[in-house]
Amino acid sequence: MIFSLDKLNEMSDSKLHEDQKYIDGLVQNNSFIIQSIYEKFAPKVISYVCKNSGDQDQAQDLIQEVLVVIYDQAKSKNLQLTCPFDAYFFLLCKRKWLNILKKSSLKQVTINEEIVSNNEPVQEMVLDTEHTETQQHLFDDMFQKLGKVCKTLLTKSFQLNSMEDVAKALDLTYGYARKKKSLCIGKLTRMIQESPAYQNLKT
Amino acid sequence: MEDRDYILFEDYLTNELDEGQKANFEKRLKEDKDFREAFELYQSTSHFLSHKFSNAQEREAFKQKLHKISDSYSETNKVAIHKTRYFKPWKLAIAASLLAIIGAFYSQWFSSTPQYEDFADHPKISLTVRGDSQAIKKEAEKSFNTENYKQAIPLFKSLLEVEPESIELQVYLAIALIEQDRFKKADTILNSILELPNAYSSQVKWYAALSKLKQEDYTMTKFYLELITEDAMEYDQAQDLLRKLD
Repeated sequence: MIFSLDKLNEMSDSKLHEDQKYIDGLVQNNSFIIQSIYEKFAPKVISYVCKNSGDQDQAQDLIQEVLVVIYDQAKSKNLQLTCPFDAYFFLLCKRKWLNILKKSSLKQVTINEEIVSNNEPVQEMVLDTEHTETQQHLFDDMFQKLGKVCKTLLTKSFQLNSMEDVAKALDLTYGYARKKKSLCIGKLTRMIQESPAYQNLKT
Repeated sequence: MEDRDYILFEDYLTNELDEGQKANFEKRLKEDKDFREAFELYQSTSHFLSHKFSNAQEREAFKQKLHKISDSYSETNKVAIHKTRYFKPWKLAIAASLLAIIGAFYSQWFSSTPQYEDFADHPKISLTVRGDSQAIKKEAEKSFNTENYKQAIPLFKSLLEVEPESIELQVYLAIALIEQDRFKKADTILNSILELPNAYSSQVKWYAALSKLKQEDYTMTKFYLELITEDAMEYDQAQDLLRKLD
């Protein structure tokens, strides 16, 4: 159930927030909207990072990273915002910053603040987005571990329009290319299933 | 799962099964938990790969644009901090008083009709273009961002020859044309963009209104402003301008 793609259906009962325009703007790569996200929401994140052992450059990197995470969530999971963008974006930034600090062994930092939200829709959206990010990292890591043949075949399979084109590009028969694609995805799913990170994601 | 199960998953996802096979597959999905979980993971993995490879170029373009906007934001922000450091509160008080006095005289002597210049606060642009147009792109950005619109116009035009469908480039060209008082061409571009639904629709309405404001055609300015819906980013400034036009 954790890997189900039906999140959209589950959320269809919730009311779409008017701030969905920021999500749509990110997906459409709309310069005006991206700039307005910076103008409206970046100062709060920068101030937070600077007050918690970071500097402006680190805050800017964090913002970029989080906006890419939101972009991925929107593109791959059709993110439908049911809470204000500010709350969603800020909580994602805060939680990611705390993780960065935790990983940095040089800094002993205490943040005396809750990093969960009392607001249920915000909390749910943030956890869902973080889940997708972790899942993507896991899938990516496992993909890198696949053999060269599978990597090439899968890359072409999702870059080109049809399996006929893939077969032609790789000098294979159509039937073999199709069969091999299924088996390569199958192999990847087995590697994912066997990884400890997958078990963590399921629980 | 066996190899044949993965082949079956792929056939099901690509609609290669006949009705009978499909019904059997769906029955097994309902009854066999392991089979269902394996299928869901297969589906998620396919979806992940599709996102990773089909959107790779788009995603890269997004990241590049983000990077440039972030840099530009950082620069502006640092300049702002630098400036305020030397601006003492007593200076601020004197400046505010002077502004109030000038403002009072201004409102007495001049008409209160809103001016194009009061609203034409164009954002700094950062372009992402395909192909070998990097040098022209940089020059176009520089010209636009330093308000050298005359120079920016031919540069946007040559970029549009490579990417004629880019709405973003068309919007920037239209802004540069408005700045140069070449309204007819600017309005044609903006109206042609408005005919099709696109990501820039509310910005285009805003600039179409600003073009008309600069031409002192207040009826058409209002017309375009009223098209801007409440959910748009430009709604507040559109309402502000509408109030000033009344």
